[in-house]
Amino acid sequence: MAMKELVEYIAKALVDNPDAVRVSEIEGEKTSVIELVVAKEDLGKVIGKQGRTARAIRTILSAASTKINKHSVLEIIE
Amino acid sequence: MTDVIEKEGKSVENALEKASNELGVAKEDLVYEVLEETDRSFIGIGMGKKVKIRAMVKTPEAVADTAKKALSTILEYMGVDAVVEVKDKMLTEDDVIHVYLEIIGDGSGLLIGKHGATLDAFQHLVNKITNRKFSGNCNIHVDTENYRKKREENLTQLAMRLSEKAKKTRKPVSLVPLSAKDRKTVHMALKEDKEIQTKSTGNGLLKRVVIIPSKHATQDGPN
Repeated sequence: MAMKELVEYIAKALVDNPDAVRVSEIEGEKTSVIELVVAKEDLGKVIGKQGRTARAIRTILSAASTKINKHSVLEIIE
Repeated sequence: MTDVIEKEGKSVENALEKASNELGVAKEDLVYEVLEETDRSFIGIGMGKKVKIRAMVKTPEAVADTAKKALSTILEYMGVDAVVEVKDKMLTEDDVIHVYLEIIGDGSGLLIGKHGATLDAFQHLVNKITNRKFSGNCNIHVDTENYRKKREENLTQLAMRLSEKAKKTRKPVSLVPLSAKDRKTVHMALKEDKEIQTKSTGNGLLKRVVIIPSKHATQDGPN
């Protein structure tokens, strides 16, 4: 399972500055926190109108986590 | 299948022209990205300017390829054992390229999610990724296990049942909040019924359809 890589792939495919995308994972026993950093001007692209894109990434992340009986939280950082 | 070429020119326009000539298609049908831009002119006369672009023909095939690859990659990173197939691809009269993707998985429901939330998330992201690359006008539809059709049938039946309730009680009946597409299904299902009207109320994620019994009689319909 590659939650970090999953978020990284999606983020890079959405933004104008893929080189500025950084993803880190803080792994807990049950819960993992995935931190996504993008360039300031790309923030809107990963969040989307009314947060729709961010919600879509979170939905996919939780589906992938369910598969391995875990929880994942996505934090988007400027 | 996908024709991609790299061209150099004095300007983007100039490089695009060369690409369009070589590929034998109109410039409007090309999508491109600028690979390199060098400017060696001193006072901006543009003599030493050189632009290198990568151009690609915007065809249903190219769009379908990109969309399929994006979805397959996401599924792979999710650790899901599934195959993505292109069921259909077409260019419609309004100049939109439609691509229908189908995920063939283990049928566990993991890829569908609650009321199709996961399926909608795939669709949203694949649309974003593909439209970014092809500068818009692409509509990617993602389905699995015939879920879209089943959902439409279920909602239509629910709409019929609730419209009967509205008529019997002569009171408005409200549905749970639904996505834009699901609300449309409900509106369409009850479009012909003159004894009731349907309206959407609320905002954003909480938008729902209300079925309202028509005030007077049955023959004339609304108004």
